Order: sequence, then C-alpha cells, then structure tokens
Amino acid sequence: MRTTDGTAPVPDPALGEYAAMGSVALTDAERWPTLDRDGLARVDAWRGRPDAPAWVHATGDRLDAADLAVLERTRARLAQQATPTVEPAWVAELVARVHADVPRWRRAAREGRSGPTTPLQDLPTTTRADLTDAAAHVPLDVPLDRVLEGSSSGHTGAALNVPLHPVSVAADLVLLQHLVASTGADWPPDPDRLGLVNLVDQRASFTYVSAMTAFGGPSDAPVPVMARVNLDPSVWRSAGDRERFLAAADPQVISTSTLPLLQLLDLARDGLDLHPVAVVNGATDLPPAVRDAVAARWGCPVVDLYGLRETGPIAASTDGHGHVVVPRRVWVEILDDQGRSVPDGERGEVVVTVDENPYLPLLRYRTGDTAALVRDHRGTVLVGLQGRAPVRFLAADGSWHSSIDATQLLQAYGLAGWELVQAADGVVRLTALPLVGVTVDPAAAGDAIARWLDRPVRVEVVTDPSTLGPGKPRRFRSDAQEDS
Amino acid sequence: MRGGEPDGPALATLVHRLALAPPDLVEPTVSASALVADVAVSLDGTVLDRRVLRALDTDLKTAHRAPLVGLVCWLVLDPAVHEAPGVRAAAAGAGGRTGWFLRVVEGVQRVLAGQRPDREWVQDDVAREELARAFCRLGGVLPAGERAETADDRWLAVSSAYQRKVAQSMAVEVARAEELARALAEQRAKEAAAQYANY
Repeated sequence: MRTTDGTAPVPDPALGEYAAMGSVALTDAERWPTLDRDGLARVDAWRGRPDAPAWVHATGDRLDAADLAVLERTRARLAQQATPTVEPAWVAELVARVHADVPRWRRAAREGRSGPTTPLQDLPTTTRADLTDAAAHVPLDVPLDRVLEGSSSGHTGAALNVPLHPVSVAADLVLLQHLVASTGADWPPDPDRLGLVNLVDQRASFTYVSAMTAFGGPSDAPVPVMARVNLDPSVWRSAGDRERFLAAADPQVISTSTLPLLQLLDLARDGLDLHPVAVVNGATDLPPAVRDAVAARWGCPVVDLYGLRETGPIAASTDGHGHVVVPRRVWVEILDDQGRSVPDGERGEVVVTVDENPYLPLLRYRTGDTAALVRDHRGTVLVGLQGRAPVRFLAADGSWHSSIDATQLLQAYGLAGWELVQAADGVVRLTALPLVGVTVDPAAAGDAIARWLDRPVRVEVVTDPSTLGPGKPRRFRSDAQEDS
Repeated sequence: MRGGEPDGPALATLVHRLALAPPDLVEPTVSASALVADVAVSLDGTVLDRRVLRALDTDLKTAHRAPLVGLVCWLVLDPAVHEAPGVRAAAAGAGGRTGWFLRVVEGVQRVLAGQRPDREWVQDDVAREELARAFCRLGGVLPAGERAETADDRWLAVSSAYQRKVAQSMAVEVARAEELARALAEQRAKEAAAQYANY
C-alpha cells in the first residue's frame, strides 16, 4: 500500500498523529473480518491506483458476522420505526440502567441526588465538559475489547475523544442508506464505482479506503468500497491526480460538509464529471444556496444530517424544511438557559438523550446548538437549527482556511477552550483557555495559528472558562473579506 | 412533630448517653441476654419466655454482638428515650415497649455487628453517632427535630457499611477508568473504524 512517500510531512509539529500510517495496528483480515478475497482485492485496487492520494491511514469497519446480524436488525427497525412524539419507554429504562451501571449516575444515586426512577426532566443535563472524564460515562458492564477511539472533527470548534463501538459506527451507514432511500434515490452496489466517499478539505486528515461490509443486499453482491478523501492539494502526488481519482471513483454517495462540498462544486464546474446518487452534508449548516447548487449541478437529493460524534445522528433534513429526528433511540428536548423545558415552537438549546453507542449512553446531553421543536406528520422536527456555522479564516496570501485546521492546532497545543476571531481588517485574536493541569505555553498555540495564516496573532490567556461566555467553549468567528 | 410523626429521642441525648456507658458493657464477657431480660421487665413488666432467651443466647455467641446489645439496653433504660413520644408511638405499633425493644436488639446485631471494634461504639464520636442513628432507624423513629431526608443523609454519612459499599463501588469505578484508559491507548483502538458521515 502506498502512503505519503515523497509528500509533505505533517503541517505542524504538534500534529504528529497525522503522520502517515502512524495509527495503524491491524491486518486487513482484522479490519474486515467477513470480507472475501475479491473484496480485499478491490480495496487494494483503490488504494493502489496511480492517481490515488497519499493515504494517511488504514482502517476497516471491524464487523464480524454477529455484528452484521445486529445491523440487519437495525435496518429492519429503521424501516418500521416512526419518530416518537412522546417520551418512549426506553428513556425510563435507560435512566434506571445508568444509575446501576454508569459511574456518574451511580455517584448521583449514592449521594441521593437522583435514582433509577427519577423522571428524565428532573435529572441534570450533561455537558461536553463532563465528557472530558469519559470513564464516568462508560457503563461498567460493557466489555471494553471492542472500544474504538473516536474524535469529533472540530468543524465548529469541538474536538473530543469519544469511546465508540464498531456497530454504532457502522449503524451510520445503515441510517444513510435509509435516509437516501427515503428521498427516492436508488443506491445499489456498483463494483465499478466507490459506494461512498467521505470528503474533507483540511491540511491534516486521516484518509483511507475501506469496504462497507454492512451495506447489505444480496449475499452474492460485491461489497461496495468507500474512501475517505482529502481535497487539500498537498496530499495528492501530482497535479490532476485529485480530479482523475474522483472521476474514476465517481462516488455514488458523497458524504461531506459544507466547505469541502463547495470546493467539490467548484471542481465540478471546472469539468470534474460526477454522478452522485445523493449528497450527505454533516457537521456544518447547509445553506439553501448550496443545496440548490447541488440540485442544479447533479440533480440528486441532499440529506443534511445533524448529529454529534458523542451522540451519533440526531436528525436529518431531506428537503431543507426542518430536521426530522431520526428513528434511532434518540429523544430530543429543547431547554432554555436555565435548563427548563420550553414549549414546542419556541427556540432553545437542543438537548439529547441517546442509547445507541453501548460505550456512551447519554442522558440530557447539551449540544450547544439551538432550534425550535415541532411535532407534525413527519414526527419530531427541529426547526431553524443553528450552531453549526462553518468558519473560514483568510491567510495573508489571500487563501481561505477552514476552522477545522485551527481546532487541530489549538487542541494539539493543549487548549481546553478558545475563541479565535479574525476582524474585518484581517487581524487575528486568540483568547486561550489552557487545559487544567497541563503544562502548556498558550503563546505556542498563538504561534502555530500565526504560521498557519502567516499573520500576527494577539493572544490573551484566560483561566476561568466563564470568561469565554455561554455557549460552546471553542468558538470561531471571521469577519474577514476577500480584500482583508 | 414532622409530617404527623411524633419525635423520637434527641440525637444528642443518645450520643451523650453512649459516652457515659459503663465500660463493662463493651466487655466480651457481658451477659447481654440477661440484660435484655432485665430491661424487658423494667420497660413494661414483660418476662421473656425461655424460647426467646435461648434464641438470644444463640445469637449473642457470635462475636461483637453482645456489646452492641448491651449498649442498646443502656440507651433504652433512659426515660428520655423510652418516654419519647415517637418511641411510645412506635412501641404501640409493635405490641408494646418490649416488642419494640426486641426489634431494635435484633436489628442492631444485623446492621452493626462487626462494623467497628467494640470499644469504638462508646469511645469514637462518629461511631457513637452511627449507633445512635441506627438505634433510631431500627426503632422506627426520627431523631427529635430532624426531617426524614436529613436523617437519611446523615445516616449514610456515618454508616460504616454504607461507606464501605461506597468505597468498594469507587474502587470498581477507578479500576474501570484505568481499564478504559488502557483500552483506548491501545493501537487497536486508535486505528478506529471507517466513518461514513461527518460530525
């Protein structure tokens, strides 16, 4: 398999985890325990194309036959299940279970603050900061032999390590199939194309080829292959490779977020010939103009998927008119600043109770995003969802850079929270909240941002998280214009 | 009175009386079953029959029980205890003072025996409070002036058995956190799995 031979090293000394194949541990047989020789050969063929990018990582879906059976049951459930409009029974069962098995809630029970029969609305909320102590949220009775380290992408400033299970990760694919089918689009296995591309556009990213063994369908159908691909020019070996690879792959489903999608639309306008079955947007808001541009360019449906790494998918919009809560074990509340439930139709913070990832059942998790909730024939619908705005910063040479790059840097330099602001005149200011107990030099984080944008950065260090104000603790704003 | 229930004895009364307990009560040689029989007579004239006394003798052969029962006898003999309105009401519900008293005698062995060295029940502040609160709980009364929630909280704060359970739970949780950290640090976990959507 080819890696980063002859390509640029990681873009910042602090981003060593993105060194090529630095996080690889398994054999291909372990990556796809059920994949046959033909499937492995097709994975290798995509890896080894002369126009392929320098792959940074190798990973599979880790699914064994028992996992695939579980996912088939998930698929059947998705087809039947409607979104509940009243609190489903599993919520009370989850409350009881976590008070027996999850350290944070066991502690609450010991101290008499809550118990197995406490109604959900009487329980305290859970914040992103709470999850920095991941072990407090992992049930004691779940074997840890399947645990995977997940991290959120940092599109909107959040980056967190989350314990994941292979089945809950692969359930995303089954849900995407369900959502794509709900638009009327047909997504059959096609051995000549990539079944899905997960597309990013950032300086450093894990990229890989994988087989989608949970795709389902006839047992003799070839297992579709997917790839995670970075549009950033620095990861491709030769000019034109990116376009050649993508044209050859002609991915059936393009799963991405707003900024890479805009970049891909630019490439398509310049002649890249793609025929997606559907486009899936995640992590960031999808402006109506971008949805329209996809429809105009490719004539395919767009699924805007709302979720967090910690919770998995929460809701999806296939028509741009509200995000319908997906038919998983996810229950959504809308709360005001004081944590009180607001009436349907009023805006508040989206708070989620979810029981899908066996390593991370969550009660009343505060997403930091806001919406109003309505219940109609579609089920439970989040209207006016806000909080996922992608942010771009303008470098001195006039190039635009995603806030994801900044998240990677600021986190790597040990910051727990920050506010990175670029004024209309291009001036950059960083308010840095270092991690407690970690010896870091916040100025080094400022220097890394300065190198990234080739601009001076004013750094202010704070030690009190409340200094950053309410809302998400990792925030970006850029008022820069093309001529800043 | 709180919530319609009459007050039991004041906790301070019980704790103070434990501090004044005759030292020989916590000697292993004390004949606790004889004491129980004497207290029954003194409470309401009940003469315990041979069957009850034989059962008591059998129970009290187990180590650490006799001193606790001796101290319960010492507490009950105080009129500030057995005349407390809450105790009178509880005794009425238990078929008389002796019936109530025997219930406490049985319970205190079950709940506290072996939780602490015998002498601590009179010499240590927290141990005295633990025994005083156990006495009230087993007797079905609240310490004078306390609400049920407060009494429950304070009981958990001094209960040796509960604190031991908490310590065991916490040890399990700490071990699990270490196991999780090791599992996540393994390269197998770091290789992660292919992802299909962005978050």
